[in-house]
Amino acid sequence: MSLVELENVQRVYQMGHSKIYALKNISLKLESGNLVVCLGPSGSGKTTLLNVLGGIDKCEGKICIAGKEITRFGKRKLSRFRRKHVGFIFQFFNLLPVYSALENVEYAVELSQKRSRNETRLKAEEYLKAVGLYEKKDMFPSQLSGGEQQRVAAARALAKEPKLLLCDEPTGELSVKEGRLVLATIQKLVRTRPDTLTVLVTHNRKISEIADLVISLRSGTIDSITPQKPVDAMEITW
Amino acid sequence: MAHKLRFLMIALVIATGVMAAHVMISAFVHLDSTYTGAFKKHAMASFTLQTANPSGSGSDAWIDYSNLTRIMNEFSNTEAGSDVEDFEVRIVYDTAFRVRGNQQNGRIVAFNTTDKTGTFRSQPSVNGYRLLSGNGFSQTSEYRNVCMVEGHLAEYWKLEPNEFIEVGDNYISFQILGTIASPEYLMNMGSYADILPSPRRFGVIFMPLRTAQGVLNVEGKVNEISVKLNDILSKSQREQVASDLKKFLEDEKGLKMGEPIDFDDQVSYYLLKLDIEEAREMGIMLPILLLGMACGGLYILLGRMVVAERKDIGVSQALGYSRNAIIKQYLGIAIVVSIVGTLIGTIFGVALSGVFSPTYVKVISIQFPAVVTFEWELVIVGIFLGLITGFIGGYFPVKSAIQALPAESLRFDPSRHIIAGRISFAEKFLNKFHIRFRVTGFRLPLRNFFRSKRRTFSSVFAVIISVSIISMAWGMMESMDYGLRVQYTIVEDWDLKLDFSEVPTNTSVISQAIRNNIDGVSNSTYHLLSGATLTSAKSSVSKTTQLIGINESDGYLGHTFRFINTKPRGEFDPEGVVLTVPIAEKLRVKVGDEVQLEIPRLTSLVSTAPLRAHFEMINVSFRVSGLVDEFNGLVTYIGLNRLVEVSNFPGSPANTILIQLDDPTDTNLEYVRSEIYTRYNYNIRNIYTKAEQSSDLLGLLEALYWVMYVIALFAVLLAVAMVYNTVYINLQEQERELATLLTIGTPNRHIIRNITIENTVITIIGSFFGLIFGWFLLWFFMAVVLDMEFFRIIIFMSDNTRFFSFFLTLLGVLFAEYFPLRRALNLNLAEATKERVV
Repeated sequence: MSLVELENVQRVYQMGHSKIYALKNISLKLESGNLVVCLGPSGSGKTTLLNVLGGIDKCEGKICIAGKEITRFGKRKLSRFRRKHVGFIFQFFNLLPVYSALENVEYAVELSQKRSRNETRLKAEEYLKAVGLYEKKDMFPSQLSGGEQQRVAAARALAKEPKLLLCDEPTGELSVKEGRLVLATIQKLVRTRPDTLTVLVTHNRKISEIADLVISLRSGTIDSITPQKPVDAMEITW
Repeated sequence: MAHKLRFLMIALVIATGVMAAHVMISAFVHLDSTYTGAFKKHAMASFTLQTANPSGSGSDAWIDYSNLTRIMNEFSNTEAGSDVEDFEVRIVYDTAFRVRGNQQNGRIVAFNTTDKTGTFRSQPSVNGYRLLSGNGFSQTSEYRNVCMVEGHLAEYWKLEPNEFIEVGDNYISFQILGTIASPEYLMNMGSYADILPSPRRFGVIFMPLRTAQGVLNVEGKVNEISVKLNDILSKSQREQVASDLKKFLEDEKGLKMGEPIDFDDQVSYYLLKLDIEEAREMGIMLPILLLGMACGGLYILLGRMVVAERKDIGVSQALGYSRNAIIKQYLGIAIVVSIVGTLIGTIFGVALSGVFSPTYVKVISIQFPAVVTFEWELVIVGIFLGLITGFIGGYFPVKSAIQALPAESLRFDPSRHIIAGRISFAEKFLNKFHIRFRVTGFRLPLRNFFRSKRRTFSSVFAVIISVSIISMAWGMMESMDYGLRVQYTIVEDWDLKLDFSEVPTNTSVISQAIRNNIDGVSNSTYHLLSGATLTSAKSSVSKTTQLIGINESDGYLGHTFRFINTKPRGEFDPEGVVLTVPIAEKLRVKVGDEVQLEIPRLTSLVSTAPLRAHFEMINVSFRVSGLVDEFNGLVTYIGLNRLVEVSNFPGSPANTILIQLDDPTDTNLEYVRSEIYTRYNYNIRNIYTKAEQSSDLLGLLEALYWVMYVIALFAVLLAVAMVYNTVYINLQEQERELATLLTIGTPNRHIIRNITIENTVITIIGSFFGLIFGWFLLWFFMAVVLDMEFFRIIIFMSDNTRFFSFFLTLLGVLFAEYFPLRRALNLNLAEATKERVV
């Protein structure tokens, strides 16, 4: 059974009297251990697809993740599902500004797993080391660069050890250099987690080169699904 | 939408301030018009002049009606009397009433129902009245035992026309023709010796002169002249005419007269003026307080709004808008808010004053219809106050916030001003003791609380406002209660009080007999109450006070002195006088200073039982031995033996006996009261318990309590509005954070818990400062604004009130938190996690 199965997923926005189809009859299956890039121009529905996968947006149709049909979940169950199984990396990093880098990661660990305080801390430190920011663990987001913040966000997302990692334009606010480092970090981390499916949304065709699978979207429909050999993130440029 | 709602709330606070200003200030303007109208319509006397001994007998008590009328006509024709427009010679006499079997003190006012030409008249030419119900006097009234009852007395007993009231020591039955309102008794008060008595203790009836002369056994006599002068005369001119008349009557006609009482010093009017003065001060201070708060609210709201929109401001600046243009734009918002508030406040203020003013007039028991007029000046003042509130509240925060260069503004992350990036001192302090909260637990609200000074200040400010107003309003009521409780549980050290109709000279014998012969009586003593004028030897300032002669020889004073801290320490010295604080302040005297007491000295004795004598007024020096701050603010205490000695009174005169019981249960009080009535009924006017006296006072203070309740209610509403605003802004600023937390799977209950903890911490900290500020406000309103002479209120705030203020504010905070929190928990996470703008 695939980790993620979508069946006739449709997301319609009502704009006055007219209907806008952000997603139109999307059906696909995605396996764990892959890094999937959703590629498409603005308005193609790639972020909407990410949102419905993460259970933060509603849709018609059926979405099953790890055998559970999340489209039938209520708000509370969805929240628990996200807490346990989904990691998010946002375009604007969205770190808690009152918490240090370490505390931000600790928060995710404490939220998703039952561990002692010490274990939680060690786990968080382990992930900060993995993203190369252990030395800056006591710094607050306002004291970190954009790239560093996004790497902390990656650590936060993966520290939950999620089944599904969703990245929404993670380099959108970063310079090429910083973006490349963030992508490399994500790429490195997901390779260590064969149980995790990573879905990354971007409009940048170059970035899609790091994926195992590229899903091209256009006007809410899947244009193409292309498996490929991923390129090392540090080798690409845009 | 959110901005609109918050601005609407600020507008409503401004509206409330403007409305309060209009309603409260117009209330005293209308009250002023009401009694001025009543004085004019009913020809209130410019001054009254009584005989030297109006309640006595003999030539210094009573003057022949015809003779006095002739003399007054003669005076009117002199140059000194050229301003006399009219006069009335009449009887004003204090005596006993019995209303439905209950004895009480009262006053007869009697005027001639026949004019100078012998024609019947229902109204006197001076000091008229307004008929409230029933009928006035008719041509046959002077031959019948009929009377009209003054409104306060009638209202208290619910007296109706055709009922009967018993009058005088022989309790002669009088039929009530009607009930009336008199401009002389706007408030139910007969003399400075008995301040604001309840109608249960003092009431007034009007009767035809001939009838009164028959009841009092003074055929053809009167004891008072009421004179109406030309309205344009000043007080000093009126006093000059009164002095000339007194001189004329005494020097040229050989009559013995008392001191004239000017219109302004007439006791009921004097008290009313004090009341109006308090209303005026409250009417000004309270709206200023409200508008100040609105100003603060606007300041914070606009300040935060400008910070949040700084990026847009930067864009505007980059596009070429000048700093002034942008300031004007935001100032325009503040002005629009204040215009909306001012308009709403003015409309409601004008509408409400039409309801409030008549209610106010009614609540303070004025029996004349309220004169409600439209006050243009107040509308203009209200508009000015409202607009100035908007201007101040808008201009300064905007001016201080919009000063960055466009480039800086454009780079600015709106959420950055609430990002602290540091650990607070409080958390570091706790960490030292190894107290570390979990990141998903208390650590987040703690960090949030300390993340931004501006944010924390505005939240705490709202709580301070709420707690301070609630604690002030409740403190006001508590202070009143506390003052009364101290007065009636500590200071007034008696269980039953007995008033005599006439002053007996063997009071010590009566007091001893009560003590020895009636079971359950443990102690008794007697006091002599009168009015007296006190003059400072140092400052020469005079003050009319209630004089209480305390009998120190029984070993029981019936009064517990609570001296204020002075050097030397205060004490009751039977050779000196103890003054209440307002008198000492007015006379500018302290302990050890000399004061002159003007008291009557007996010159010749007519009878001893009851005491009938002729007096002259003398000044005697006394040393101030102590100062007390009691509920009754205008009292002078003096040793009775010393008073009797200098007044040359025979025996042991007193008009009150104070009785203490072993066990003052209701049954025992009733038993002792009925025993005294049975055994010593002669000359007893009234016996009342402490509970009866205090409940009378509580009834009189009811109006003030209602004002306090309204203030308290308003405080709670204001608290909710202010707190709602700040909680809303706080949550809105954290919208992206909340959305992130929810997206990564933080349960709703964690968010609710954290926000609630944060707001509770804000409420606790704000309450600490709020209670301090509330105490200051309480002091300000009670000691500065409501600084009354008659009733002294000890500033008091209990722990219950402190807790209640905190608890009510916390409830307000939690209530205010509910709606923005519900909104936050239902955020569109997909959009909110991408939000950049606060």
